[in-house]
Amino acid sequence: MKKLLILGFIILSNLSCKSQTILPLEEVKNYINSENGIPKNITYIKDVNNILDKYVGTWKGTYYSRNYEFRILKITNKPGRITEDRLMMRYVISDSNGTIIEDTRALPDTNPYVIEGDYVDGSFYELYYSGKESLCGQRGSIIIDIQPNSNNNVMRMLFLPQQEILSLKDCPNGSATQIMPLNNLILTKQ
Amino acid sequence: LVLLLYSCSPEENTGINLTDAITNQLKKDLKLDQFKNQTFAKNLVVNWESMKKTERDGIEIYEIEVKEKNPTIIKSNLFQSKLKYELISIKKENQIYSYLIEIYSALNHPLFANSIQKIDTFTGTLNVYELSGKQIDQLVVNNGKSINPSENNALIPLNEVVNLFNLENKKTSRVPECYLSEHIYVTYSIYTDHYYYISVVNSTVKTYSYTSITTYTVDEPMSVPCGQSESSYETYKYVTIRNEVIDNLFDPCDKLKTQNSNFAFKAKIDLLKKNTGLLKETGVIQKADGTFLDYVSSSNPNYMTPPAGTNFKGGIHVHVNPYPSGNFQPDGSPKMKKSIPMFSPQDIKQFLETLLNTKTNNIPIADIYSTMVSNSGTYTLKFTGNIADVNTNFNWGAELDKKYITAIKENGKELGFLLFLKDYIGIKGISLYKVNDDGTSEKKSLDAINLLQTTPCQ
Repeated sequence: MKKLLILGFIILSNLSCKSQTILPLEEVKNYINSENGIPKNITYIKDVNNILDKYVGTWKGTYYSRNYEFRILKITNKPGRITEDRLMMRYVISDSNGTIIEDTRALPDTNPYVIEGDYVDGSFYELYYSGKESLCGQRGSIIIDIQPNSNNNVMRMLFLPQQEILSLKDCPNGSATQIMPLNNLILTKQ
Repeated sequence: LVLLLYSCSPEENTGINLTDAITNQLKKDLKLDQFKNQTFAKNLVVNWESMKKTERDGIEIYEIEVKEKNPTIIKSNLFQSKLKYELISIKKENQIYSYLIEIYSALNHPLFANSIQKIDTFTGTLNVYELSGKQIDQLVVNNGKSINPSENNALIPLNEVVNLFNLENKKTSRVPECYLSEHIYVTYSIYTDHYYYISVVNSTVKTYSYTSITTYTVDEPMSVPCGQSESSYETYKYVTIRNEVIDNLFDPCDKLKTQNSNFAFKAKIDLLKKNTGLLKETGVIQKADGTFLDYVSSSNPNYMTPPAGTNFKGGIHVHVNPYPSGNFQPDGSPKMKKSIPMFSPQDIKQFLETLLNTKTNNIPIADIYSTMVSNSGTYTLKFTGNIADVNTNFNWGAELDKKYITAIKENGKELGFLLFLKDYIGIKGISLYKVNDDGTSEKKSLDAINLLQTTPCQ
């Protein structure tokens, strides 16, 4: 019994020795489009300086007569081999009559239409967006940054579509109408 | 399978149209290429011209002949050696029920006479499938009288219709309306004829290589008529089909060497390399005859489309350098937008479509390619697998996009791309080559433990 206890203790201490190798979120940008990606020993991309916290909350704004509401959460998940601290962004977009154009507020984190954070680039945070008509162009990067001197209450958002060769079969009418802001959208924290 | 047919005027003047409508609906619903049992499906040929229509007690019955390419052989002390098939649609009270029937005719009874109208003296088993290929169950027929042993609801309309034609022995039948639950042993023999293309002066010739044979046996439960024999029943079914595949007995390195030393091809690559600094993608597509056409730019600079047609063997397109997003960092430097200098999921999809088009445009698979030019490398995709494995049935769009972004971010463009192909596309034989500025190429692949392996072309 005593031997068992000692064995158990050894196993436990071994387990607790397996610490995570952290890459601060700000450093991910150094590996974007690099030959080898993120070093193999990294197990956790961590927001060590809590730079994502200022984005968390509900944000509203208007752009070309459309009303935008974004709900941003900070989560920790593991989309591939690495655990990541990242933002998840859900949204509801309506026209000037209040008619809903798109609403992803009720979708689970695993749903591909929920916008997921990618990396921090200086004062910007870049997220990846795919819409329902992604095959016809509704996909790309969304960059957000908090406006200086706004007490973290004003945020700018810009959608940068991904360049693609569209298939005539998938998109007989050409590219889809974009619902994300192609020029800066100013959002206010609620 | 229950189909609802909506008809505005179900009167007699629509009779011919209804027959056409039923044929069209059956053509649409019979998905032989999606049958789970492809050995079975590939062996069937439907004679759509053979539709026979009959009407009884207000029920319309449409029968279509189905034949086998290679006749299945039955060896049994219960059934005759020949199998029959037919498609049948039953229109009853504005609902249409459609079935694919495999008919086993009992020994010492007439062979099924290609119509249930002549079922009076028939004894045997009707093995019934949905038009999707899913087996429903069997009806057992004793001297024209059908029973539904499994009491499967989907078989009720068919059972009822078979019994509509059981005219004579209704009164006098002394044949037991019973059934037995037996097993039949089915042996599938798949002969695959392998061919390859060889290049001669100005063309490619399809050449026979060898034939491989795969055989497997399964046993399937089946309800059969009883009272046919004193001894126990034994039924063996032998299904034979013949496939044809084109093997890629070519070395992509040789193809790339030829391609990269081709003046016109090289000129296009050099031209497109100069376009990596543009703000929009550009590219060319190559026709089977070797000539190039530009991709069609739209008014939206983010997108271009291929020219109309399918007679293409490949294409070259640019993934542009990072470019200013229009917003600036606090230090005044522009926030750059980075596109991934590697084939996107959409590029993979188009490569697969080009491969699939070879089935109709007869372009040798060895000639199919897709090349992507970026300032951090030029890459080419080639296919060295089995064309039968190629399909585009993936969840393209948001879901795969996110898997791709993560794979590239974590593993880099080359390893990330190969892992994405392996984990989420899974078609063997999509090969990635990096084409160097000096015209040499190197293969990028995964080793046994999923690490990146670079093999220079000799």
